[in-house]
Amino acid sequence: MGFFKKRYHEQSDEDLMRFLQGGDRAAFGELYQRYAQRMQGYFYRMLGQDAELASDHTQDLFLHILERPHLFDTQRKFSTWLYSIASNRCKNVYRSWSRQKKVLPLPEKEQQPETTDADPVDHLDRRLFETALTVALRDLPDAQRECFVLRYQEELGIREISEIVDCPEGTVKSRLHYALRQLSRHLRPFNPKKIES
Amino acid sequence: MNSESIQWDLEFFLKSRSFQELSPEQQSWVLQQISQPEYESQRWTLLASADYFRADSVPPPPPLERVLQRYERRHPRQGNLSWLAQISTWRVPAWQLTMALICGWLFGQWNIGQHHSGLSLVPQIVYQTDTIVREIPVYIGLTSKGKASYQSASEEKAAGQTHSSPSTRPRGTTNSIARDRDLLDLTVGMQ
Repeated sequence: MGFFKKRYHEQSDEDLMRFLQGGDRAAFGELYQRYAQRMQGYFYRMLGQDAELASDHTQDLFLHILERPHLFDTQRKFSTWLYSIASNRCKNVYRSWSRQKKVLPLPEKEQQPETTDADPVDHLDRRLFETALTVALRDLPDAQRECFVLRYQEELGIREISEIVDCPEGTVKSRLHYALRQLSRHLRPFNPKKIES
Repeated sequence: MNSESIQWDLEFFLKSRSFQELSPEQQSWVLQQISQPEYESQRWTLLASADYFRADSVPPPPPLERVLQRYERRHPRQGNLSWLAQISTWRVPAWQLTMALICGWLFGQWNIGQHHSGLSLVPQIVYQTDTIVREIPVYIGLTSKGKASYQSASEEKAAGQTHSSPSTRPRGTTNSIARDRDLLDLTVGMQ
């Protein structure tokens, strides 16, 4: 009967959503395989690199899709719709934190095994740089952080980002420019050239 | 060129080439937006951040089973009808095969029904019967009064001695005698 089975990995995201709307749970499994890791990464970066919080939100996001697949318009791009929901969830979290006067927490990086062949100074520099970048990202305005992560971590196009965050493309580019400028100021001490601007 | 497209092109330059690698026209265009040190600084930040995003390991997402279990807890199944919903998503070859099987089955059922509903005339030879035929001679004569009288052979034997009782008559003869009597009455009456 293998001939008659749907080859989910050959289907587009939108077709899989159409199957899911028809009650096909296996299509959901394929979508989860494709996007769970990316969504986890997005939440992880957007919510202060809290792995547990990111897992909870990834789970909730996919549960939302499983419960309400009919909300998806199959004429739209699935990834855009998915990131839109994720983005709105992050905004809700920020609102909740602002009410509680809470700020994005600093990540508690797990101790990674030390590489023996790496220069300890380089390694230390790298760790310091990572921490500085995380802090700099945390200090960005929410809208700028969102655009920056979507552009340079998720590697999405400007047009798609503008659809996700629901604002004009020019606004996205502007946010990216300001985010990059602020980050470069924060990270100037780590720049080997240390050019004074 | 508006400011939106300038940002887009600037990003492309930042990602792809250093300030020295830009053509003089491109350099002059970039310098209208930002200074050279700023360009170099932003370029370094962009590339370093991209490297960091690529290298930094993100913890794995929760397993799919956990999501499905949560869904099952929230929406307990009311009946095993999910396969019905899945039918609409089957691929075309499966539809064709299914329809062919259903049509074949229906045709078979209809064909069998046709054979059973008609009258089939099959000759049968009956070797055993449940009817016993017995010949009884009946003697018919006229009485002095011009009426027909009748006596069966057994009754004739017992004539003058005792009147035969119905119990002594052979079984099945009473009705035929009565019928014969009626016929005789009719015949004599006509004479």
